[in-house]
Amino acid sequence: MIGMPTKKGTPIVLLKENGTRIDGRKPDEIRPLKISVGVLRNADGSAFIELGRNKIIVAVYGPREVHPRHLALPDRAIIRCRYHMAPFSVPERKSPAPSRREIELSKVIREALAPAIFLEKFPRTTIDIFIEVLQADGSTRVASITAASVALADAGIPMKDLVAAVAVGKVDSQLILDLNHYEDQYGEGDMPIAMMPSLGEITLLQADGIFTPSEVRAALDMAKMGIEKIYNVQKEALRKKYSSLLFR
Amino acid sequence: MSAPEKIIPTVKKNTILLMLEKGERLDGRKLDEIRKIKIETDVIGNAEGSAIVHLGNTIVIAGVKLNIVTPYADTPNQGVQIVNAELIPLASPVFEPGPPGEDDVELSRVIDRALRSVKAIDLDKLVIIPGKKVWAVYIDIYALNHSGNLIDASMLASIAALLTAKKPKIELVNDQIKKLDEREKLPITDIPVTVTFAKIGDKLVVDPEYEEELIMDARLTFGITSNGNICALQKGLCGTFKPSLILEALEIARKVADEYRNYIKSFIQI
Amino acid sequence: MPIYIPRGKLAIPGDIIAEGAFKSGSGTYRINNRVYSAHIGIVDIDRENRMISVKALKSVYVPKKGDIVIGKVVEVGITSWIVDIASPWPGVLQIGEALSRPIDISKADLKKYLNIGDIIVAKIIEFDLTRDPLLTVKESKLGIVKEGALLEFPFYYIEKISAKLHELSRKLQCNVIQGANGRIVIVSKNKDVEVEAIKTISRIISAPSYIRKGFKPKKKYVR
Repeated sequence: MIGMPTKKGTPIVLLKENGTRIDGRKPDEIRPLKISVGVLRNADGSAFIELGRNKIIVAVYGPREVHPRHLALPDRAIIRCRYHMAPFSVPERKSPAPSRREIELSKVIREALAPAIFLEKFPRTTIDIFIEVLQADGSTRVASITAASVALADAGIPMKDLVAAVAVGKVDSQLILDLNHYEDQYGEGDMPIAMMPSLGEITLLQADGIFTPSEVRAALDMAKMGIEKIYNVQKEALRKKYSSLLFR
Repeated sequence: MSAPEKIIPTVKKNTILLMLEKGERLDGRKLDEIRKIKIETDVIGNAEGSAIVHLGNTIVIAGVKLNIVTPYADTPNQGVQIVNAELIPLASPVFEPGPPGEDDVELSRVIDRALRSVKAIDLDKLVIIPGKKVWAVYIDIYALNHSGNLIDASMLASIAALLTAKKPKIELVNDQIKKLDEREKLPITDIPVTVTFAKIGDKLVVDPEYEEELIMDARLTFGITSNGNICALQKGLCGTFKPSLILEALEIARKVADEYRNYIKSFIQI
Repeated sequence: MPIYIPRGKLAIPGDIIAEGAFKSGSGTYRINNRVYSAHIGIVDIDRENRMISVKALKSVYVPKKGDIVIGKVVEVGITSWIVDIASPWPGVLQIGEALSRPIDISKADLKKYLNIGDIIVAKIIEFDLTRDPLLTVKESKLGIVKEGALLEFPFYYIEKISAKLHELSRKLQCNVIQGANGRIVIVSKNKDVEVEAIKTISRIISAPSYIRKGFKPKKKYVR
């Protein structure tokens, strides 16, 4: 684990006296972020995201026919989403069977992406989003949302906006942006937030841990700042792929 | 949409058959020619070993995780080997979400047998406290893009991940296990590979593409050890083989196995 | 009334293209005073009509009445066939739109006329999102493709290369059928001509004058 203090009994210092974090970041600094578009040939749209040590791959299939047909809706497309962690994605091997956590995350990720999609243009069809976490390093749900919205755009699905997401956490009573594994594990709180940045609408909001009302206000501001940065990386990744296919 | 089809157009099927008669394939390969291979190792830092294999357009990732466990009662002095493969819907529109089905389980068991038969992982060397504590080696295989022949791609990914895996060294202090920071290679004694054929009509093609798998009558997989012996066999689907065809395939498989192994050696220092 | 992304430039979903008295055309939407892009595509601004649209670089094929499509039979029913037309919705070909005279459906086996895996050239006669697109093959040049080569591309390529395909058809004396859904069928008595046509089309598609480097279309072909 890249020289991190994991040994039992050693107190973990998440915030140093000079205000820097366990990995040397400032409290409001996000980790290095890289997004690649169109990495899977079979999928209609795909994206690979590396956020810190997170490595997550997302495939989008559809809009396509719904099987079984009774799941289809007459006036819009349905979205099906599967968030899954590979057994080797975490330090201690995880059972490959979907956990209750993965089932909940599949739902909240789906609901974070749905507001951005013009579902009514594709009645009676499904848009399938498959997320595989290959390496987890904290904030996987928000990184998954960030990557999935790029994959949806790559599938040529009409959208109101991309969805960009980040987690705000709390260590030593101080708010921090973009939690890593340790801050997630040993911190005091975790507040994942997703937004359609251009429209200024929040599409995912969860929290565990205790936050005061003023901390919630500050967390939303901090998230907004991080999301702007992530949004720019998303757009840049899409521009990079698509400006190379402009017809002259 | 443009993804692979579950139903192959009749005109396309006829073309494949016609070309096979002339000894040709859709993608320009010879019948006994494998696709280009790319292997990346140590891609997942949280895994003790990992590899991504590109076999043509097929992509498979394998991760190796190690745990200290109680040995099985019937093998108290051996480590544990567990292979798990999942054909996730991310990899192909023909894969359905849900718990592993027959195909997933067959794939994991073929890989498991090929490794186990030749004792590729020396399980005897993975004992920490005899009868009480041993290393368990988990090999988890995920298809990322299914463009045919997932068996061979999975085998390559598994062995590449095993060859590059690093195990923490252990110190025993009064029967207390202490993991050290120092790492060592896993005891890998052989580099088995699988070679898979599709039987289409009376023709055999090696390393089938997805479209060839769609029209194949039967599938045949050989596990081949480093010295050319057989460490696994698996016939698949409802078609049949004459013994002579099996023996013919075996000779090709031994040659192809060397090609696969050369690819491994070109990417991994052994 | 500022324009943020000028005509001919790339827009991404959520990009604000312009603010003010503009109308929202295809590939865009409007909230309050702003016109946003709904696609990854190229901005077009019609100054006369004050209409903004985005031409998608990649999108989903939505059938249109009158489109000629190349379909693949995927299901044989009692009174109709279900046809994959490379679209989110399957095409439906009813008996009356396939056969010239009525048949007794209690006795007839539709498989005899069209079976799973058959390729057809069909026309869309009805589609309005509330029900699956209806097809017909009862016009000249429509019907089953018994022999030939099938190529598949994203549908939005077809209009770009349409003129070239006509030219090719004349030059090689072969029949090139263009489906609005991105599929192309090439038919010639001479199989070598088909192979030549496939090679030429692949060249056209990947030619740098059409698409810049770094772009590899998915392509599949037969013969």
